[in-house]
Amino acid sequence: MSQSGKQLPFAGYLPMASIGESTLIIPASFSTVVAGFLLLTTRYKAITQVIGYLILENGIYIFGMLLLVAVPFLVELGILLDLSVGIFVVSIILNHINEAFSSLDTRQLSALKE
Amino acid sequence: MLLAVLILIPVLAAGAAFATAASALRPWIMLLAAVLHFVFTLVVLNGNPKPIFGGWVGLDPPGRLVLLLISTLFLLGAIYAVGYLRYRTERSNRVLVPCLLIFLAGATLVTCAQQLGLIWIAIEATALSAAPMIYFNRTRYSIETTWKYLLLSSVGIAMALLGSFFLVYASMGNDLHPTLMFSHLVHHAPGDNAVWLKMAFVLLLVGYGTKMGLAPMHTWKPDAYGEAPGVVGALLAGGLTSCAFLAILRVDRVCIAAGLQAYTSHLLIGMGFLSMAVAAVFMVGQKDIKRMLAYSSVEQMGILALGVGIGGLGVYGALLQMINNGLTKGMLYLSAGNIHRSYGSKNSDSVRGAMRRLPLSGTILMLGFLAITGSPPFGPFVSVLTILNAAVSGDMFLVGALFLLLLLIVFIGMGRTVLAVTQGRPLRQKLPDKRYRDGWLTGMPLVICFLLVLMPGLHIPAALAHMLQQAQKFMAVRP
Repeated sequence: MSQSGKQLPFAGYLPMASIGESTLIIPASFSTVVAGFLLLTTRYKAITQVIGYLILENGIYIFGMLLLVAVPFLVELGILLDLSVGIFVVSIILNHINEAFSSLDTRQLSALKE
Repeated sequence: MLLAVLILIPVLAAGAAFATAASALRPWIMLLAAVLHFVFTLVVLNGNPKPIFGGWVGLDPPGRLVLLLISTLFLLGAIYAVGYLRYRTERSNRVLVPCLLIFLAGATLVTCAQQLGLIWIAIEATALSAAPMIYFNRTRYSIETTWKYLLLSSVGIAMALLGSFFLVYASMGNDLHPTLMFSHLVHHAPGDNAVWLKMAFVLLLVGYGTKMGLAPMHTWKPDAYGEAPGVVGALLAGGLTSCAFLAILRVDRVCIAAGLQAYTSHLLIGMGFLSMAVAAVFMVGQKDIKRMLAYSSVEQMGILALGVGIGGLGVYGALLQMINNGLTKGMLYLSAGNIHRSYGSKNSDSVRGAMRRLPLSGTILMLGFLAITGSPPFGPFVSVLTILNAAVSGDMFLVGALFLLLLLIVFIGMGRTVLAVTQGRPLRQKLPDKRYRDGWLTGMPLVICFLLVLMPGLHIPAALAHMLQQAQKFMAVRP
């Protein structure tokens, strides 16, 4: 993990299990997760937030590559099924937001607060 | 195979309810499924069913408690729903009823999921099935709420997935054949990499804590519970939160086995206090009854986290509190739903004198308030006292004192709204034409809930006490 350019600032605290995995997986995963979060939190448009969420999930899945020996196929299928149903439900709600507010701007969704 | 039957009953009923064309028939299908589920739950809890699917699906002691709670609460909710949906014939229940049943199936699967991946899948399925239920009223508010709920809970559950992956990765250095089975993870925990394990616990606490509604990830709760029908609120506040709590318990057990009890208990106590404090602040001056109940739920989740963080007897107290909270939330949400229906409002500015207008629902709301804030002689009093006892006998005097102070603030804040709603005379205002009255179907579940909440305060049945002790023993693993 000491090659320059591949190391995250806190890499020293998180030693790898050294099971012969690529050193690129963890940095790639973390940066994708952070990029997803950034998109999710800084955009107003609902659909862009959903895309941010998908990028976040992609980052988590990249990390999952380290665990290929441990995670059974059935569990991966189940996770994917849940994610697809989740995105399906989100799309329906997006459609309803578009119908009710005539736009996908989430700034309009702020009626409920203390 | 009993466990498979238990999960399949609601799934099949959901299919049947969706296929049925008659709206009036669907609640009865749900009631039938709920009764069957309850009967099978009692059979399962009475015996000791063998784990199925290679050990993936099996019951552990905390799982038995959650299963009992969810099945009971769902049965009461299903009775109520038959009466409630008669008042809501203007809205099709073709989505609501199957979703409620899928919710029950998902929650049942959570209680017996002995595998890290499976419990994630089950909780996500349970949470997704709640989204259409929250959207039931189809107003602009419910769209907003559903959107917030979906986004927050999806991101939360994504964090839980990352945490699950970290937990497995922590075990990969010392374990040649890593699996996601909890028993296997606990067995191999002592050699795990502590740093990855700590990261995993933080992420899992945040992830499942979002579902549970621990502050500061609780922001979806007041909106969702406020806009959803009362019966959905009861099931979310009593069922979904308990499922997420169960997931945290199972993960915590792995960390305790790895010798990280000091670390996890600090985090749990911290989150517990934060939740209680946030809830206390927002409850004072809260005028919306259902939102106030949602903050009460945040506070209760804080108490649960605190109890587990204290450990030992605190775990016993937390698990008893989980059951008490679930049943008391049933009382509160169902009666608040009745009051909402009768007044057409849930704001304490326009809802007054509920005990005069709706003698049963108003009284039950009042009693539920006394119960949930930990007044004797109700169940929560015993469990709160147990947690306090655990804190003081563990030399955590500051924790005990702060706990009492926050309980007091919550009592004052909640009391102000509930007393305003229940006492006095109804205001002379334009009330809805189609006047709601307490009936058998919408009244009886409230009374049963009340009796069940009262019971642990007077006497904890031997069977329940045994289950609680088993669960406490189960959580006390040695590193």
